[in-house]
Amino acid sequence: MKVLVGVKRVLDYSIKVRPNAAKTAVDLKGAKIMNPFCEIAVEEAIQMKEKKKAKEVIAVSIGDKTAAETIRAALAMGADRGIHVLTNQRIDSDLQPLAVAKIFKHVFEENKTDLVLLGKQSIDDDANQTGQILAAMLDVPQATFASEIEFADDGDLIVTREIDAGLQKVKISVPSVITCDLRLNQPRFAKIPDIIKAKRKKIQTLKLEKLDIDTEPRAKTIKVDNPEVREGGVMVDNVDDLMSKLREDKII
Amino acid sequence: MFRHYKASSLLRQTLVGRTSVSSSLNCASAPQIILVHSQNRSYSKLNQDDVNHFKGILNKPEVAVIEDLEGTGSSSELSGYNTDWLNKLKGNSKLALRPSSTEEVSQILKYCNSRQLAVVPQGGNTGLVGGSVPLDDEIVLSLNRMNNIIGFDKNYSILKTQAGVVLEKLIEYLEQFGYMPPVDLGARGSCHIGGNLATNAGGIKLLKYNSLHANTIGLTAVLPDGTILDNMRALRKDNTGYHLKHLFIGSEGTLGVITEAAILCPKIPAAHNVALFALDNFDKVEEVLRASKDYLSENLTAIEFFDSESNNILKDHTKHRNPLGYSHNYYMVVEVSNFDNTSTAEENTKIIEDKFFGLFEKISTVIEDGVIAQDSSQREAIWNCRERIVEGFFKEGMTFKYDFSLPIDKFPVFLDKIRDKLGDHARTGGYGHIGDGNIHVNASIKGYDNLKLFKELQKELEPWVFSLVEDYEGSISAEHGIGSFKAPYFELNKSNKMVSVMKQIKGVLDPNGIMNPHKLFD
Repeated sequence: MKVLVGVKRVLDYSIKVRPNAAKTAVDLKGAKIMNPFCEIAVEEAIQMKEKKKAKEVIAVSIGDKTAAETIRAALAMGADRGIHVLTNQRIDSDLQPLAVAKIFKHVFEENKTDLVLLGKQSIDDDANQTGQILAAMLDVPQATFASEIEFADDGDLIVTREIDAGLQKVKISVPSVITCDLRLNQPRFAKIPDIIKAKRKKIQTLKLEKLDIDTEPRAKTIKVDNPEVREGGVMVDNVDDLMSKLREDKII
Repeated sequence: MFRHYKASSLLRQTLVGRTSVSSSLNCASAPQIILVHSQNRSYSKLNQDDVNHFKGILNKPEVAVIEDLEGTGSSSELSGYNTDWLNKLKGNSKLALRPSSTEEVSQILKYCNSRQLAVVPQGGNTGLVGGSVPLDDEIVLSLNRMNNIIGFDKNYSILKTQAGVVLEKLIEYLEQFGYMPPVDLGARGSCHIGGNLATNAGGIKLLKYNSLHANTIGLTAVLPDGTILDNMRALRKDNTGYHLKHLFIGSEGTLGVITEAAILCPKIPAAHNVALFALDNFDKVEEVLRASKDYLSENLTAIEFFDSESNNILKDHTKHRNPLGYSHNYYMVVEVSNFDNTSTAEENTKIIEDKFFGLFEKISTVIEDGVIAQDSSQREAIWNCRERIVEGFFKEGMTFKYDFSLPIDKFPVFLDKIRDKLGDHARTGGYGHIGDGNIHVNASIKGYDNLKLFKELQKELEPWVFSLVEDYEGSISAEHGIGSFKAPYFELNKSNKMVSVMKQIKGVLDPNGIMNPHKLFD
């Protein structure tokens, strides 16, 4: 099986998110990491390879030149090669799931893929749409929020999904799209020799503008701002005080 | 929909960067063992007049005075003040006082001195040597309510704070300026900066940022007779007379109460990352230490080690997993930081990665395996392998806890000798601040039911192990202090002359012997 894994480069979640000066977008200054759900997807793909269910794992990322580093991280975990779709569009806001799905469709078809593993959502836009749109575009089955993936004897996949009502098991044929949830696995650490080996693995670069895909955003962000500062409470000394304060503030 | 949000915020919560050991993680699971019995107490007994006096002099007595004079001492509020973090020691104090200012501390001590009432100053109560709780009915003087951060001077990088501020709060506060406290330790979620000063806490950053002696610019201490020594002028340089503040740092509450401090703080590095190495013999550990110091120089901000027994204890009793497995003899955590604020985050990541690769080239024949963290959750996971070992030992059973400074090359033979003494009765592990020559030795017998065995083994170990340290010209307490647990032994480790001068100073500052009696000095 040939497995395509999407890996998105996002702002490290331990950094406090700030709006930019113009309040039009998030300030992206700071350390970047692989989206944690993408990391889980990579881990699952590598485990499939180790179980001899997958023959090749291809890590795909979209973004400016720094996206290649996220691909390298996937290669260090064990992916075989990478595909970097180069663009200077902002991938946290302007490049939206519809566009991302179109790009993945292109890569899918160019690489005769059997399975696409994506994170269920990214921690910057929290969209949770790309996998679903991609499956529909490709007209293939989808299993989202996967917390377990098993292999049936007939070549189908049995995916346990985490849904609001509990856990649901679905059986889907390949090719298909699966989005990965938190409890699917524990991503491995990159061993130092593997990080070094990863430098020699191939990353193919494709320029997005050359791909003849409409990636214009469909939703426009008007404003990005901090949540309102929570004001501290006021301590009162006794019930009479409380009553008079409530009256002052016209609450009663 | 809601479920998905919960899952991703769960991810963020569980994977958040370095968090703390809150007091809910103390050894409350371990049944109580009382290891030190109070000897003859030569101070006065607390009475109702005393309690009334305190209620009169303290602001908000309903929160400042916690008393149980009548009761059997089983008041649940007082229980916390009376019990140490290890759950090994439980005092019998009937009164905890929680002043809100230096002036109130002064009033309390003045009165106690005149009445010859014994006082135990207490911060976060996370000490490991039975120094922060009463041994009998001493009054607990808690700094809990003195938790104001006074301010931070960016020109000189000097933080001014009251002593009762939790270390983690200081870390958060200074982060907004891009700075951090010079000291950091696993107990950061509960320990107070005042307690850190009183014990001269070491921690994982000492290698790079030096001790609290080096970084404390000024402090305010209240003497046992109530005199307030205010040295908070916080000047970077001030050579006018004896530097008295150093007397209080590391005095373990026996010379007075520290109520405020001015501390020099370093800038938070522009970026840092951490690697974990696995090795099979101790010579190689020493080689990696040398190579790290040589090659990384100022970029090396922490280097720690732990042995296979510690690693197994971690696996058996905690949820933390070692990414390098369980088949090697030694593991080392190496932290590299970059201080160049002009580089972008991307450049910094690359710079640090290159430094690790450079180090790796030098040690590749010497290490068996290694991983580098790829993000903050992996950094935390690697640090947890080292920082959560101590909890593992407590879950195993009753634990002998030692903290020694020794020549590094003696670590393995030292551990072997202790293992020989204890045989199959205990699991013995060594870990710690190898860069500082400081080893923590933990040896646990199984469970908490066999106090008899524990005491027999204790007789085998003590004072033998302390004399062994003395033979190696080390320290019987590198950073944990003496408290009450090591008070019978510390004179083995310092010359008579030094001990004599210490006792003289104690006699001058605390003639009535009311400050933390039977701690430090037996």
